Amino acid sequence: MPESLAHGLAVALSPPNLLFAVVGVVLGTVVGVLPGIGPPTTVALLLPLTYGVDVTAAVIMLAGIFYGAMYGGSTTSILVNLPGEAASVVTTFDGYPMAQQGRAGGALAIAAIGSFVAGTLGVIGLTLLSSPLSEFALRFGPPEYFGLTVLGLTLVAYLAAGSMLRGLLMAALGLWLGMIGLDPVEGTRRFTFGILELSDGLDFVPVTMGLFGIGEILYNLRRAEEMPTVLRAAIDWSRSLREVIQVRWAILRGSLVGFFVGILPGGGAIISSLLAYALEKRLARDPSRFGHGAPEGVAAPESANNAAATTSMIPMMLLGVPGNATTALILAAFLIHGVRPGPFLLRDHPGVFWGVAASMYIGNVLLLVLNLPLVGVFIRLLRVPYRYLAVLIALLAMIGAYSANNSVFDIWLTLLFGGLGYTLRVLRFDVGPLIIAFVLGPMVELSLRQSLIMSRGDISVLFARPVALAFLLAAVALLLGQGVSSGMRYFAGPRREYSP
Amino acid sequence: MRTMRHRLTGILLTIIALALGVATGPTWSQEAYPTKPVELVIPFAAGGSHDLHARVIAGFAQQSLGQPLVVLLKPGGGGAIASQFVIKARGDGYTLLFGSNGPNTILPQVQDVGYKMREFTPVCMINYSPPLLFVGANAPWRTLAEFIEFSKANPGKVNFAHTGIWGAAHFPMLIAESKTGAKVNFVPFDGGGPALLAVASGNADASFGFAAQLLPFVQAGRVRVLGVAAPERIETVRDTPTFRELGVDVTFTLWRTILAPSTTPPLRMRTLRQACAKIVQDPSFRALIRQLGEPLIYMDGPDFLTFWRNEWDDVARTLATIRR
Repeated sequence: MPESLAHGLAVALSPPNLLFAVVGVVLGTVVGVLPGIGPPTTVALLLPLTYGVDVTAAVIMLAGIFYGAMYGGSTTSILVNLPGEAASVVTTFDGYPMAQQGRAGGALAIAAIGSFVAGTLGVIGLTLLSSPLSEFALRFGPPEYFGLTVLGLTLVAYLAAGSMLRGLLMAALGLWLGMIGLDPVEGTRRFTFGILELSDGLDFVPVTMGLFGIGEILYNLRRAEEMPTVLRAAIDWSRSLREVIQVRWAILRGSLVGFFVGILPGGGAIISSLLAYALEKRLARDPSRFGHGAPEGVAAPESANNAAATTSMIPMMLLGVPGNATTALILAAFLIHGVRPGPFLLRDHPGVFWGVAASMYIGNVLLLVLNLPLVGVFIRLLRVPYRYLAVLIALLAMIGAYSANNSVFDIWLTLLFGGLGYTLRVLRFDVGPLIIAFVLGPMVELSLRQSLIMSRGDISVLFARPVALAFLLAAVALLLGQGVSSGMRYFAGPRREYSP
Repeated sequence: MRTMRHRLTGILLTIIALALGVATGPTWSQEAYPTKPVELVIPFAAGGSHDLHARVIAGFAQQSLGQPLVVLLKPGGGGAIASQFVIKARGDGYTLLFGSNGPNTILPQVQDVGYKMREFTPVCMINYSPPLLFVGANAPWRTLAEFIEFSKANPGKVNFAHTGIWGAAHFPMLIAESKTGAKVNFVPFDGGGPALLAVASGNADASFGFAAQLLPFVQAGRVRVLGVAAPERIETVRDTPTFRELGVDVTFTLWRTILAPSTTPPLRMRTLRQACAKIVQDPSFRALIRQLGEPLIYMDGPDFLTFWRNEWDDVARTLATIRR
């Protein structure tokens, strides 16, 4: 293994490959920062340009775009509550409050360093464990997915910044929104009202662009007079550094969660960041800080989505099964060059595999060097008066919503969800649980129905396998723990008022 | 003052018109086409096989068409959104559909999508992928006959992974069921990758999949291919017989054909067909297409129309049997 990696490093450090890595991560950072222009679009556009170059160089560059975008994706989430990348939605929960408190620099630094640590840990895992991990991914069947997603939904209870009842209400709304579209088993249309665009369900991008980006703008317009025009736009490096050290365990835990969830072909960056966030909130001594600018709330999801992006390369390369659109396009880059990813990639093309893996170590270092100085540049963006910034955010949100499916319908959807996001903010509801239930709900449904169809209705299939059982037991333990603690709080003293 | 400005505008317009006339003069009578980029609308999501094939075509189109071919993804509604979009666009040859049998043969017959065959005229077919029936390495069935026999004797015993109702892993098995009396237990999966993993890991027993994705698993001994749902054997799995050879007439070809709205002027259709015929001659184009999994199976517009009409009628007959 070490000699393979050494060989890989030699491949990755050859000047042309190094150049492709640099181009990839720089482009990745840029498309990550720009909301709407996601890595799939960029990789698709650049794919034809790689026909002429060697396969290792092509994959090094395209992979660089993919994990580089995970670094950049947090920037607009933190600064203006607009997720640059689907996987960065969770980062808005605490990143944006931090920015509002004048701690944008700290949040961006945590995101950059957390991403670096997680990305590097992810590559180490990919180097040492890729074969056993691809076996693990293979074993993960519908009952295991059911266990995992039920655990995820259980964690929603912890996500609400205010009361649990309000959180659950939002989660119920999210579950309903997730049900819109085709029934996965019968193919019946649910809640589509004859609108063809709704038959594939609501797309994640317009929903989040509306709820977060547009909703926030509308809310801020309401109190435009009291908006501070200049937030503190200087970075306090010593304080930021202290915050980074303070959240080191959150970074490690987030990396670990992202690492394992990223391997699952149906998992990916969004779920891993949600789980990592919920886990931090559960472990925190004072969970009420979350949603109001807790640094762990930025560290955990940002680390998780980077680790997940890295390990999602494993099923693509070693099983030939991509977990998302971007890895599907990277897979195509392999195919175009006559290299077939799958169980024999390591045997037949070790140079390609190790070259790409080694380039990811280098890429992560490059990204850290690139992103830390950018923190200072980006927070200066906050000096722009909000009345101008708001227009720009709205424009970017619309472009983002449109370009996901090239659909005008999605623009209307964004506006509709912007209205919903605004209403919910005014009513002091937290949209976090909504978005998580919206993502997890369809997965819970599909895996449950798959499991029950496989077993012909025998419910024991859900508990019969150790991994699935472990997830469900963890969910039960969480629920019981929460029940006891909230019960104790209820009897111990007067009820706390909802804090917005 | 006002008349003056009017006159100036008039002069200006005349100059512009003259300039344009000179620029396009020689070709004006032959109806210059294309004079701007042509859009190829993809009815499926990014990273899918249609997307990848379209990008290879786009890479070669400029040379033979004289204008860039722009790939536009419009996924949704099983391909109906993109199909409707292309029909509604002006039939001027600038908006084309990269069609397939899902959105253009099956969907119009099982759902009211507002279009049938006659709304489109084929430019040319690039190739098609036939689905392959595969089972897990530990499955007891060695041949297609054994598999069919078992699913007839034990109705609903085989967990059959599919990737969506009426899709490429569902419809061919429905045909097989209606022709043989077999009965399987359909389990939906979220795409071909998850369905393949489910069969390879034993979470499901069998499914239909495409050669490009299956081959590494076949070589690794994780899955076995029992039959090909194509009219002829395919070169990637030469020794696997077709369903038809084995006496079960199941064909399903996920084709990749450029379709134009049927309102497109004949002259423009000719330009497009000539451009396509030229691209497919290019050896490096053929090589790239083959790398994506399937060799080039070129069919010109009229040939494809016959092929498509037969397929349409086949599907109609199958649906009639299934529904009965």
